[in-house]
Amino acid sequence: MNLFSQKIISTLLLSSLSFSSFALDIGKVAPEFSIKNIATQKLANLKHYQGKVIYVDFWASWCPPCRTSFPLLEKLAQDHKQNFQIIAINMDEEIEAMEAFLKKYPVSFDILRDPEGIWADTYGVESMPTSFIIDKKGIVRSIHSGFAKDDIHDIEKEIKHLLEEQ
Amino acid sequence: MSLINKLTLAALALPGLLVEEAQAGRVEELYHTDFQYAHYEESNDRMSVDVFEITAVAPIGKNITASVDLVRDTMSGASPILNTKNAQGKVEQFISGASIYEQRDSMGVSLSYAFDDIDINIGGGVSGEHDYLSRYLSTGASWAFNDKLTTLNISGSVAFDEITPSDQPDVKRSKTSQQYLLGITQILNKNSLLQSNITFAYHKGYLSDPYKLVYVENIGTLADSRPTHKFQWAWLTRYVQSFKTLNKAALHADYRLYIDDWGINAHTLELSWHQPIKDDWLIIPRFRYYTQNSANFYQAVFDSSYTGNIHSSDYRLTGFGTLGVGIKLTKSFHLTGFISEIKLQTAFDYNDRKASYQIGGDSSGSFDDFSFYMLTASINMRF
Amino acid sequence: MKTYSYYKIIIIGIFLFLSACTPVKPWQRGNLASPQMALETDFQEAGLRQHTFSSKESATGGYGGAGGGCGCN
Repeated sequence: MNLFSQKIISTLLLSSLSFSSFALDIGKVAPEFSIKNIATQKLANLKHYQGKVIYVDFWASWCPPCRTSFPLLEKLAQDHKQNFQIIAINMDEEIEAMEAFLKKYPVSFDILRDPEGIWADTYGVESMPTSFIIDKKGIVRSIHSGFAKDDIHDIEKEIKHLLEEQ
Repeated sequence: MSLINKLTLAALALPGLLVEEAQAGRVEELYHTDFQYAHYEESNDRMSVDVFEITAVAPIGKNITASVDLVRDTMSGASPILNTKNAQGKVEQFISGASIYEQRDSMGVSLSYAFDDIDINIGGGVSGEHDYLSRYLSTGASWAFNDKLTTLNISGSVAFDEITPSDQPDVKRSKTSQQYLLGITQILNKNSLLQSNITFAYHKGYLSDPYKLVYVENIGTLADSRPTHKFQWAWLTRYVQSFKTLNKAALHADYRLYIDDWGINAHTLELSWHQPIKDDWLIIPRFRYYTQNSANFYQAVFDSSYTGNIHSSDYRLTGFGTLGVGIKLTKSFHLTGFISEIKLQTAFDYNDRKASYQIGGDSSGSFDDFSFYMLTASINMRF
Repeated sequence: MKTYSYYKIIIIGIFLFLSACTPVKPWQRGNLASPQMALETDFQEAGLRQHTFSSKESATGGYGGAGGGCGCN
């Protein structure tokens, strides 16, 4: 294959693949956000929760692992009411789909709405669901891509460890 | 995408068996059980078949999925044996007088392991009736990359068959088949995707039909005798497009080109419209058109001067077309207890096979024309 | 030489086609995850149909492979 063809093919190959843009790393400061809380209808900011261990979960009604995760996360929230907060950011394009899901899987933790994906982009979400565990100082300490039933044990261990800090 | 919506090529190549394959990535940890009943019936009191199938899928740990599939077919009725010419010189089909009864059982198992972006599967199975035994092994891999928008699929399978015709119990014949698939599934945008696969198959051994004959005019009959090897090539492209305004209905359009070295070229077109109706009902009308030309050693009836040794008058090797229409209805119940979903499905399809439906064909082969319908009903459960 | 040029055209065409695709973010796959957009929703019926057609017709093959859907986990 001559050099010209090689160049064309590699250019097209590179442009046709998308590489992940910015992905949040462990050790970085969790980006401040301003997202509508569906219960209060007011904008919620990350700094409202400062001082607590935070579990930020990007989820959607159409994502099967999200169905598995919600009852388990609700139990986690009930078991650690002190200094621990779950914030579930919903990505559904249509609010009706989210509402139907929440009727089936009612939870006590905060649900925020990011239908445009602005905050999912800022946080560098690469698969659904993705969760970020943030310590009391606002630093990202753990990222979970996807969710399987047994993940809740690892998550609980990490939360307990971070609650003991400081 | 749920586990139950995946296919393994290898099993599809082989009689009646279809086993799922996991998506590239970690497993979805649900147990599935699926039951299907189907009834197939041909016109003119020819063949009819009842099919019962059970499939069970279970996750093992975080990365492994295991599945088992069992099928039982019971067939009864008659099949064409040969063609003759009547007193007017017109070709007529002769169907076996006796009504046959046959039962076929098959079992398949498969295992898949999910790495981060790659999924690997292996499988095997056996299928038997009183005069036919088939065993197969298959393996495949799926690699999702490009933000999981592109999936590359590759698989291969091999089957070993043994035929012991019921009227010649001392004769044992064998056949080996291999099939390979290379394909790509690409998400085009939020509302459409495309899949394109190429498959190659190679068969060697006894490929004739021991129950069929050919008629040589003024001479007599000869046993069906086909080449001892066959190479097949198929290229299937599938396109799915959803429409926001029609309750998110989706159009599915498939086209497959088929070529083999027995001289047969075939085209298949399938269109279906998946229309969600309220409350998790889905109605799917569908249409199918198929056309093929005839094998280079096929003749309806052989001329008295014929002296070759490769010949067949099998209605499946001649030129014809098939037009099919069907409708399918599904209803899903999403529950929050031990069972997380129950889906009920039923479908009816009618197919009309005619010599004159062939592209560029005529009705000279109309003695082979027949129609068939299929009725299916199934229950799918997820735990 | 001529066959080789055709292959070049096909490969370039494929990549041009791929590069024309709109990148879909992981959270935008809701529609793709719906049952009506799955390539195969009923694998048992699909197997039955393929088995029926390939026992009455000469053509066979082409089906199989994963992809599409929600891309979860």
